[in-house]
Amino acid sequence: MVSIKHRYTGVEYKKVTGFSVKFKDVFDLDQFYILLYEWLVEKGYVTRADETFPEKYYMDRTGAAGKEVWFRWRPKRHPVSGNKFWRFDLDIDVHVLGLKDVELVVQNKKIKAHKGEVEVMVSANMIFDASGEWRKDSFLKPFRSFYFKRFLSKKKDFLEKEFYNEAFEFRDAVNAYLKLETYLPSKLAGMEFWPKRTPE
Amino acid sequence: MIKSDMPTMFIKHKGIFDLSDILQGIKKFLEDDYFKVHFPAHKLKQPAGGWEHEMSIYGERKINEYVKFTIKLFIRLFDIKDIEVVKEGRKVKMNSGRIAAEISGVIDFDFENRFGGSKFLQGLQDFYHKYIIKQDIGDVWEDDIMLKMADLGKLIREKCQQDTCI
Repeated sequence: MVSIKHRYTGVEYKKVTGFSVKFKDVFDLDQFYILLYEWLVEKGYVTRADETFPEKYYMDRTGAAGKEVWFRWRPKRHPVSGNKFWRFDLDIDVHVLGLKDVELVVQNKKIKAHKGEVEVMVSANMIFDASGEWRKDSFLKPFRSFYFKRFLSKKKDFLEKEFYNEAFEFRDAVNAYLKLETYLPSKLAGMEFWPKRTPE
Repeated sequence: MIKSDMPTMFIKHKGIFDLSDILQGIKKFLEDDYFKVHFPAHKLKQPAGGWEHEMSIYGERKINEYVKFTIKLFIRLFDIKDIEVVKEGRKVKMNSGRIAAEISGVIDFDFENRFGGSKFLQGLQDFYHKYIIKQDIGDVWEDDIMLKMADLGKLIREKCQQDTCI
């Protein structure tokens, strides 16, 4: 019989932060998709190789009220190069409801865009002992808890803060695109370059 | 063959630039440094906002019989429009839009696969890397390719009229 279990069963992890952004108005879903993708590439969560892109689920359903789109991405990265002990998991769920094609007139030019409701849900989880070295090795296992508490607590705090800031940068990238309030100056978040939901 | 990847550099620019000048500059920079330049892909499409380009460029250089440098560039251009700019009293054709460049580097060791034959040779290669050329890898070749990547990044920034700090 197939047993179903959570992917973090037996894995030590900590939820660093989680948030959701909900928005309902005119935006360009294609550009939004590209922005999220490029952000993940830039931060080293994914590569440009399509076959390894962690899109775990994509649903596109057309109904009377418009399109409904779900996509779930599970990108991850190891923050310390050459060390597989730590891992940052950024779970991104995007739900779009009532999506309809619209045309905007900007500077006497017609531009195709979308209208609907988009919700971005993010959960940032930091994984310890991602390679399972300490968990699986019967010799190391008894010292695991002691070693974590005594020697890795500062490193853990440092990486946790780094991941927390990174998650907020992601939030700001989403907010800047949707023209919502940001928590960082947009230059610092590198958002000057990317287009906004409607051309200015 | 063992590969050592360098960290990727990202350059973004929004505004006016001369695309052909940038591309010629990249080619000249790499060729002047004895790199063999390849342009394996160039995608082009025209959405409503302007032209979109996506191009890959890489340069290869054999440093010696054992080490090879590869510098890869991935350039994406969005909303590209042709414009005319008056520069020093003359009309010059330029482009406006957004350019994003990614520069990454790889060092290939044993690119001729001399140590790939048997377990003994692989062990010998491991010993060679750990005890004989360890310092050359860390202090010479890795620094060298990083400097070349930084110089190439500086060139692109200068062509885009951005400030540089190196």
